[in-house]
Amino acid sequence: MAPVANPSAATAPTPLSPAELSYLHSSLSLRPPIRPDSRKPAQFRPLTAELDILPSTHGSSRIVWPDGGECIVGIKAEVEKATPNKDIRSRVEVSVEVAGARDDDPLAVFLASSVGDTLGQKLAGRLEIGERWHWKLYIDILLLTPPVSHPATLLSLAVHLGLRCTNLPRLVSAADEDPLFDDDWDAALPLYPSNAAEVGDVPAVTLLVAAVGENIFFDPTREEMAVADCVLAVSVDWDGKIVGLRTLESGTVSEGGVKRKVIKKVVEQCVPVGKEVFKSLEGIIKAGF
Amino acid sequence: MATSLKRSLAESRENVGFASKVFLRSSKGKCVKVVRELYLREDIPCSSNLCVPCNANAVPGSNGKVKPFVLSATPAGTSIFKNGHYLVPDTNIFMYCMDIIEHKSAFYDVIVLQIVLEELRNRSLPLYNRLRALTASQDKRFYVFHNEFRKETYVKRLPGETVNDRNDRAVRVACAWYKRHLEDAVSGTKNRCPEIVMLSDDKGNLAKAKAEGIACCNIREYVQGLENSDELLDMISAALEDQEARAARGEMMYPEYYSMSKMNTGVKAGTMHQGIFNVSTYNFLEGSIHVPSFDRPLTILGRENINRAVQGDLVVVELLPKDQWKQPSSKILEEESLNKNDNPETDQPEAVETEQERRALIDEAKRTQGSNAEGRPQPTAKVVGIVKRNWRYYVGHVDPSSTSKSKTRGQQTVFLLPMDKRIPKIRIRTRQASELLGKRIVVAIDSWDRTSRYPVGHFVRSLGEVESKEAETEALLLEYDVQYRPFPKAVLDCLPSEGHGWRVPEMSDPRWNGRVDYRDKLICSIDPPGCQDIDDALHAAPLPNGNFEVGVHIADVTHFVKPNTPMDDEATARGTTVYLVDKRIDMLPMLLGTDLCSLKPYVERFAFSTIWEMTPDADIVSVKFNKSAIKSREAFSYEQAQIRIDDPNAQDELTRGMRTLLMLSKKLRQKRMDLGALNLASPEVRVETESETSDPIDVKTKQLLETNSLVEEFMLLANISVARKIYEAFPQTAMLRRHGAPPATNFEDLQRQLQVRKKLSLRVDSSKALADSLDECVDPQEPFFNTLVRILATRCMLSAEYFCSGTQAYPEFRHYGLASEIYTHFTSPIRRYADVVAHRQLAAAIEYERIDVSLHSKAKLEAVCKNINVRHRNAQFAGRASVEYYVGQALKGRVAKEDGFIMRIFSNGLVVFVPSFGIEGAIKVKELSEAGPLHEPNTEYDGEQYTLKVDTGKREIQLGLFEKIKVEVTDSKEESTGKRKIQLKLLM
Repeated sequence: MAPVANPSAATAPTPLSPAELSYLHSSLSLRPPIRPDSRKPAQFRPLTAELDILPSTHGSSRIVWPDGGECIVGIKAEVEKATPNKDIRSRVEVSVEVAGARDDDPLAVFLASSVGDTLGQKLAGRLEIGERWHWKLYIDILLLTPPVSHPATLLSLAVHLGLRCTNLPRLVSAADEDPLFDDDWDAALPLYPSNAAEVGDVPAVTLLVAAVGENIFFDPTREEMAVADCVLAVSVDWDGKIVGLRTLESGTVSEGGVKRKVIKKVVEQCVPVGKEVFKSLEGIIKAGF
Repeated sequence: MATSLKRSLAESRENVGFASKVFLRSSKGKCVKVVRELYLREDIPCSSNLCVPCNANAVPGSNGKVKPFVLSATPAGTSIFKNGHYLVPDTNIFMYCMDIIEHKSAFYDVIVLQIVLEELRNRSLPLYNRLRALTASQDKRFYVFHNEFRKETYVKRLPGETVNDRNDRAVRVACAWYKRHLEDAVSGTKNRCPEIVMLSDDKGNLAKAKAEGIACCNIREYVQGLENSDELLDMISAALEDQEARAARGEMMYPEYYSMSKMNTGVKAGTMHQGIFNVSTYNFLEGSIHVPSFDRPLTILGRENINRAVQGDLVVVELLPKDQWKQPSSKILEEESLNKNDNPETDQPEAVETEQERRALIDEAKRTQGSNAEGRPQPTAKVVGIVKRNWRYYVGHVDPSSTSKSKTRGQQTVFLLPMDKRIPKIRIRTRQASELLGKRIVVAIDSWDRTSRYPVGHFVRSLGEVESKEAETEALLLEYDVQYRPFPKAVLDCLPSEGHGWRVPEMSDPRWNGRVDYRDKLICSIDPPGCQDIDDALHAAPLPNGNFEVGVHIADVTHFVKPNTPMDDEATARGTTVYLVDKRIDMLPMLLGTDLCSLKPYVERFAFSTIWEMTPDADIVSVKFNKSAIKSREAFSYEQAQIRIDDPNAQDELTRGMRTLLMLSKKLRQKRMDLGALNLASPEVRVETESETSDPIDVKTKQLLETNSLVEEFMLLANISVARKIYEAFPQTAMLRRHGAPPATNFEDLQRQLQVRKKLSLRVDSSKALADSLDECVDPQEPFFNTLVRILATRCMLSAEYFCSGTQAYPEFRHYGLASEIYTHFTSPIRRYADVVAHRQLAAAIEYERIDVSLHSKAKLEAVCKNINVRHRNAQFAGRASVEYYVGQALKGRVAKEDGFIMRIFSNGLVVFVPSFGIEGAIKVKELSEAGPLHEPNTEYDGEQYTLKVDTGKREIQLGLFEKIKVEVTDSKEESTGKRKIQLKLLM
């Protein structure tokens, strides 16, 4: 009989023995800590990004991690009639497909809701067309290879890039009329104008942070996550504001639990690291245009 | 954070045989991004017979054949392009100069670029179809070059470039490529290289082309180099006139139209209304529009509110404030009489409404206020935008007073007065004004600017002298959009190869499968005299049980006309045969209509038979349908049949059968009447023509004989029986005919008029009630009064229509006039297409043959119904117009004193119906003057009592609705339409 599919690919067991895990835990607890791939605690793994790869979408992106994790995001926009008293967050619909997993896989559901929450109201506010109409945005995310590390960061960066290169057709009718758009795709307007970064109004990104003892690590690998005391998914805005924080799992080696001080440190650290991440993303977007 | 970015795929795709186009399609509040991928080729031929390499490398199509090359090796030259030339017109040239392009004398060897063709399709489907027809026929040598698929001529849109600029550039690139390509092809041969001439009217485009070294010119320059340039120049659309000059001409006379999106929003929100614009035949400044949200049509009064809408346009209107609501006009207004002195040459700004028009309107406003009687003012509306123009070709003649005598040569602007009074005058520019005077000409409207009071159009062709029979007949056919060209070869190819020699085959032939032999039955046909296309024949015979066997045999057209053949397509398009007084425009080729299908006497023919068993009380015991073969014993005219039946000496079996039929038909008719079938009247006259020249000699009202109703009853019965059968077999897709019950509001005016004038009441709650109360509408002194009321009542009704059974609920199937639950047309397949469909469905229902898929598709049937409904109506109009014309001709030069009846009354005139000629005409108050033409008679109009008191200068006369008056009928040529019309004069 075939083994039952692991409900959450993120918690895929590592092939390390308890002794190896313990060793890893100790080396990560050192001051300064030693990461197995000799990264600094706040250093990300290199990634490859592509923008605008799907011609029939309004915006798309693709990011590949060196460990084989790959994520493709396609964004399509549709005109929808405004219904009063409806949560404007319903204007953004996120769906995640994890290759090889069912569509009700807990990981996919979790990822979709976390992306939606992160983008939240701020994105929905951008989708107005006049008084009676608005755009409805469909963000379709495909995780191509079953991730060996948790895909939250990968996904969030890809969505960010996808949104940044999304264009919406240019409205040519007046605000109170039924909408009519310019037929020239080249005349379409970007969802986030090119100066969006300067104004600071860009979609938030989610960073994964693992804590081992007093030390915290960004972009943890699967092994690091396996020994971490806790793993947090922190959503950071451009201006360093933390817009969301979720606990993913606690480690398997130590007794578990995490001190308030550590959480505070994570939050503090996320601000400069977030800035750094946004800067790199800006670089990609500039180069892409 | 280390990142790397891959180069975008799109950029690395340069110079491969691949490109993609991205655009947005936005409509009805939706917006879709469309991505089209193009695979660029290098083997699309130039199609010039000069080019050897293209000829050698041509790739065969899917059928394995190489398309023959189109463009001539020795194209014609002009004074500028001596070596011959190929033309490459841009989209605007096709948009505005199609008439000239179709002309026989010029425009050969034309390269139609794919991009131009596509743009044309988006802008005007009819023009696109005309261009397609040109490219399909070989004789004009039009070649569609797919420049978007050929690698060298594919043009990418530059950033910031508009679509138009990009397309213009594509045209130039294609021209340049052709030039290079042909130069290469002829180098080293003795052939001369033809010039590639780009035709455009865009100055910027021409300048750019010149700079790029492409031969080019605008359409005027080009046409001037041709032979009959005067005629051709007239055919260029006025829309191509210098735009700037027109814009500079100053004041905008009409309000601007709303944007499409604003109208869509308004219509959806219910603040604006969309419908077809109709102009009153009595008053050209009064339009009406039926919109779904109101029971009655909205009235649109005055030029400014009509705002450039033309009869038949699909427009959007907005209601006017209540203080501007009005009663419908009580006046006859004709454009001609009001605006006689307009100047067609307009360099100075004009007022929208001339002084006279304004005065007429004010008069009317006073009247409405003065008499606030006869109910409330009606809501009025104004046109705020046009969704779709429904312009077609218009036939008319040049207003002689608008031509200037001093400028006999050279161009001048003249007015064209359309035959259809509802169409405004059309301003056309012509160089041949003197030749066009007194001719029937065809024009097209090109545009109607806000600055111009009248629409602007261009000359298309001349039909001949006004009042010549050929010109008038053709004018009529054009006006009613009747297809009158001879059948194309593809259609004639579908006829049986035996031609007139076709015979009913031996019984062993497979064509006999499923067919029964009724050749021994005593069948005869009864038709109008001289009828050639005999659709139907009848027989009746006693059965041993005391009942009767009655058969109706209908020509088996579908045996010859199979679905999905060119002949079937042509018949679908024509929809019906059109009967004019001296001419018949057939739906099917002559060979079928008057010979092979026609149930001629003494020969064997295939038929589709309906056989009933009937009791002597005309109750139906059973019915069966069969494909059959029959042999008609005799073809009677109604009169002959009547004489034979009435002749007591005729005791042969055939005559006895006819008597049985007559007896049964009377009973059937009574049953129908009991159910509430209406006996309606429409004025019908017959024009007697001289047999040789078919010149009209006399007019007679049609005589109705018992035999007329004999045939009619059995046809109705057959239609109803077939309708039941095909509906049972195809509940969703049966071809049926319905006649909706008219809304009671339609009768309101007539009811009030009858009540006031004659103290008669008309009950309209059901067809039965209407039929009964119509019977009671009699004036003992005036036998014709009843007919008059019937004619008026008929005009209040809806028209019957074909429909596909799946589109209506069963109760809606009802035929109001015939008081039948279900009805179809089955009995005249030679002249009506609906019957052909019914035949095919019935054949499938009795499992004679398998049904064609097209008759199973609701959508397709609906399209067929829509078309034949329109064709049917047009055919009726054309037929009536033809009678009207011939009545005019027959009365030419005669003066007749006749009785007339006042059927409508206005404050400044009346409409009189003359039963003996079946005509109606207007008499204006002005004409009643007895004190010289300058005397304007004083009138007193009472809209409540429908009376008009006129002081003619000598005496006072009182006129009332429905009154009988003596009129003098003369003929005169109507100035405004150029028709010979009946002129009525009141005899006092």
